[in-house]
Amino acid sequence: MSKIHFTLAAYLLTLASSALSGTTDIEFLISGKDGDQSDLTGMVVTLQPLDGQKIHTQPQATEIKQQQRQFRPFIQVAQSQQTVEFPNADPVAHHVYSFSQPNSFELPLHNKNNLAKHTFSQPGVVVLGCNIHDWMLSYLLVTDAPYFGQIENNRLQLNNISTGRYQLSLWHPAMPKKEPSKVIKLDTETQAVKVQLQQQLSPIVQPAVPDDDFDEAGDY
Amino acid sequence: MLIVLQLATSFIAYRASRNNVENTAIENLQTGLRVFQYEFETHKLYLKGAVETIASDWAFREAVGKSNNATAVSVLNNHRRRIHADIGLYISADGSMFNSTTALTDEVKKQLRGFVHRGQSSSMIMLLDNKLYQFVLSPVKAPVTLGWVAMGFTIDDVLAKKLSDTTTVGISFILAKNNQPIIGASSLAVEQQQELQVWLQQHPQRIEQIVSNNTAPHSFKTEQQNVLISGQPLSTLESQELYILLQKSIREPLQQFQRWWQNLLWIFIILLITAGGIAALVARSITTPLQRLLQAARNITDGHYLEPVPTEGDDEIGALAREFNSMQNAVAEREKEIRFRADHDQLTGLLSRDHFITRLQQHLDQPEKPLIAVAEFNLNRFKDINDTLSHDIGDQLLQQIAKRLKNSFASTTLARLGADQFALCCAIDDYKQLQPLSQQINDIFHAPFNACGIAITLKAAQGLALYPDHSQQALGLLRMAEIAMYHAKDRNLESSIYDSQQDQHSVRQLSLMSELPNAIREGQMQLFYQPTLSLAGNSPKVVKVECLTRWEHPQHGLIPPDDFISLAEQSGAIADLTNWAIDAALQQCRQWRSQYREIGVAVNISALDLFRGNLPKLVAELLQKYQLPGQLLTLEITESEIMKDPEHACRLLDEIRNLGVRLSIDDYGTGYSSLAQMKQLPVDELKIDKCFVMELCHSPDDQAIVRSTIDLGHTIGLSIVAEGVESLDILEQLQSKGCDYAQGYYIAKPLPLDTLEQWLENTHFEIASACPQAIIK
Repeated sequence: MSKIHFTLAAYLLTLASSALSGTTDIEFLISGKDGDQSDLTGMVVTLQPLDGQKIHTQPQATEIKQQQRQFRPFIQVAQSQQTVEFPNADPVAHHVYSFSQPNSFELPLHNKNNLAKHTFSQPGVVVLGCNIHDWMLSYLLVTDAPYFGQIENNRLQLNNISTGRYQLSLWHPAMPKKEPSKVIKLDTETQAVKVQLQQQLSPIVQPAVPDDDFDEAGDY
Repeated sequence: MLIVLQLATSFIAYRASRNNVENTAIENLQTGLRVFQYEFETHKLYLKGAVETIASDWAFREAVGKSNNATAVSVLNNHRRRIHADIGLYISADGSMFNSTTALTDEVKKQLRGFVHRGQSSSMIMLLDNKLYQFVLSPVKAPVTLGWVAMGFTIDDVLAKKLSDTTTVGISFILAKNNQPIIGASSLAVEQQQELQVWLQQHPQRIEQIVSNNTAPHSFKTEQQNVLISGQPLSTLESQELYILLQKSIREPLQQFQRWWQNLLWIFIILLITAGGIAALVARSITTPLQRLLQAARNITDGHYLEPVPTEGDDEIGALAREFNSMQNAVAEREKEIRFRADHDQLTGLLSRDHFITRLQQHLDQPEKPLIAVAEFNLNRFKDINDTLSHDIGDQLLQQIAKRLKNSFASTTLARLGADQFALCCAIDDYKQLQPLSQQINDIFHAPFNACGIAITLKAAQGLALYPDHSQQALGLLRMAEIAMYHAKDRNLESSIYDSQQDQHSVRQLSLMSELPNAIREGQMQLFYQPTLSLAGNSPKVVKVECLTRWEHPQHGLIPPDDFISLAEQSGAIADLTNWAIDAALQQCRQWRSQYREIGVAVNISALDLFRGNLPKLVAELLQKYQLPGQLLTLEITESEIMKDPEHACRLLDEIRNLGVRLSIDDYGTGYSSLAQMKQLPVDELKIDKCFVMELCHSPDDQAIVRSTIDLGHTIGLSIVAEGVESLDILEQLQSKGCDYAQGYYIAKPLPLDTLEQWLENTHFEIASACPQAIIK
């Protein structure tokens, strides 16, 4: 069979299943508050079911890399009780930590060879840093919502979402305060959800590696 | 002047040095201020570094980030101790939570919150429990700023002292709350702090002044200290200002300066004294000799150059002194020479006039003998010799005369007074020596003089005057000798001794001469009348009077004509005198005529009157004025007067004669006339001089002369008048000889008018009378 056929078959199957179980694919369109030009990339969208809908997704593992002496990505989202890996791609060791309650943790000095990981048990914001590299910073949102994702180009596509009512929450480290969540109803016809932020984001930028941070023994 | 200069210099130096000291102190203070600022900054940086280290400490961050308050506080304490801070605190990023090792006041919390919100600076000074703390803050990043850790360090005396040690100035931290300054911490000693506090509290605005101007520190003086103060504000807390004051004592430098200055002053004084001493020494060796020379110069100026100047020393002063002496000698020599020339006559070597007088006076002041004779003699007709033979020969002659004088009069004072005039003075014992002296002078001219082969005989006329008889003054004696000499010359004598009668030049004479014209105007002149008898007929008759002028001088009384007639002739007043005499005589004649007395008047005239020329005219006018016939007027003139110029006299006399006036020759027989001349003159009568008449009775010679004169006169047609009739016998003799007129004391002497009137009344002689008709005419 050709690929087109396969795709078509899959699509039809999905449709059928969704029609059977009532799932849909939603495109979320997020826009900033009037006049706010801030970059919304990395903003976390979470959907918390309100009607006890069936969850069709599997928990995934997430990682926060230490690469080029920076955390990648800058903003990450992970499910609670799921393992988050912290692979070190750098030639130097890193001592990752966070004091954010209730998820404070630390991964003592580990280098490339030791794969460090951690499971966050509670939802919450975790601000990550490296003890020996003061500039290293990243944000992790631990969520217990079944459905979540991060915005890119002001869009997020979530598929196979059960229909029903959800609480939509938006989170970005640049938000000065908590963005009020919205309740949305999703049905099979819903294709897109548009949300406009109610607050202006503060300027936030991932601190850059200092110019003079180099080592001669490195293999760059 | 040196002292003034020194004082001025030292004053300027003093001020400059003192300013220097002060400026140095000021500079020190400013340096101290800068050092303080640096030190304080460094201190802050050190603290900041310490606190930053704490803030980035992993364990600290973990402890503060994750833990409860108690742990946080204990960690704060722990790490506080590490860096020797006094307070440790932590404030959350939102300013809500505080952990502190010491209780914080709300004030402090408020300030910290404000700081956190501002997020600026990293240190602040705060007051807690009345103690000053310097808080250094540092953000605790894990990895974002969770909060701020602040460590507080007390600002106390210890810190102040430490700062003071490095800055070398005194440091005081001042808190000014409501303008009330108090010292929070200071490096100063307690007493000094108290003094400072009091000083500041007295004038709270001082602080403002001090901190506002760093370049000109204030001066703060007490008994204990003398400081310059500068300062700057440190921080402003809520309700109070914090200042830092720095002070530098200038007492010590000033004291040092004073000591230095005193030393200098001592040196200066010693130098001054030494210099003064040396100057005095030098002065003595130079100025003293110079002053001696100066005095000697003054002496020379005053005319004393006999004392030589002392000339010790080989140096220039000595040389100068020696030269000075030779100069002095030279001046003395020259003066001697000049004096000699002044004192002596160049040609003859005899004394000069002035010097002779001086010497003469010296002799007079101390006469060696009772008499001193002064002889002055003048060469006769020397001018002729000079003109004929040349002045050269004249000079030679004079020199020869001088030589002869010197030879003859070895020890006498000899002088040449003038061109041909010599004088000598000689002390003699008595009058008997006068004649030999005179003869000695004459003998000089005895032998002829030889000039260029020509033998010339010279003659001189001498005049002699004697001290003390004639004068006691040199000038007087000389003058009198000169008068006597002129007298001798006039009378062709060889010598003449001074007689006051000769003196036509006495002062009295001169004054009379000047008074004469006035005297005539003012009527001091008076006519005295001497009656003349006519011997014709049986009884003598008064026919005329001789009018003699007398001067009734207010001071000198009656002055006889002998004295003033010659004066009048010399001064030219004779004309007025004669005019007056004739006028007065005619007036009186007129008077008598009106009384029917026909008395003629005879007036004496001199040659001057005669040769004046206008005498005839005058006589005519006067005759006209008084309406008198000329016959009543007789003009008498002496024989010798006429003989001065017989021809001229002749003409003039003719004119007068034409008026009818009679002319009479007075003093006949005593002059130089010849009978031939007598014959020519238009005279009417001769008057025989009294010298022939007075002894008439006893002298046959006189008798012969008188008789022959009478006969001679009659022969020529002249009347004869005899003067000097002093007795009746003489009168009878004259009468018997045929004399026409007689005049003399026997008859009457010259009388003033009123006396004459009386005489006319009483005399037994007849008086010529006038016919009434004649008067009418």
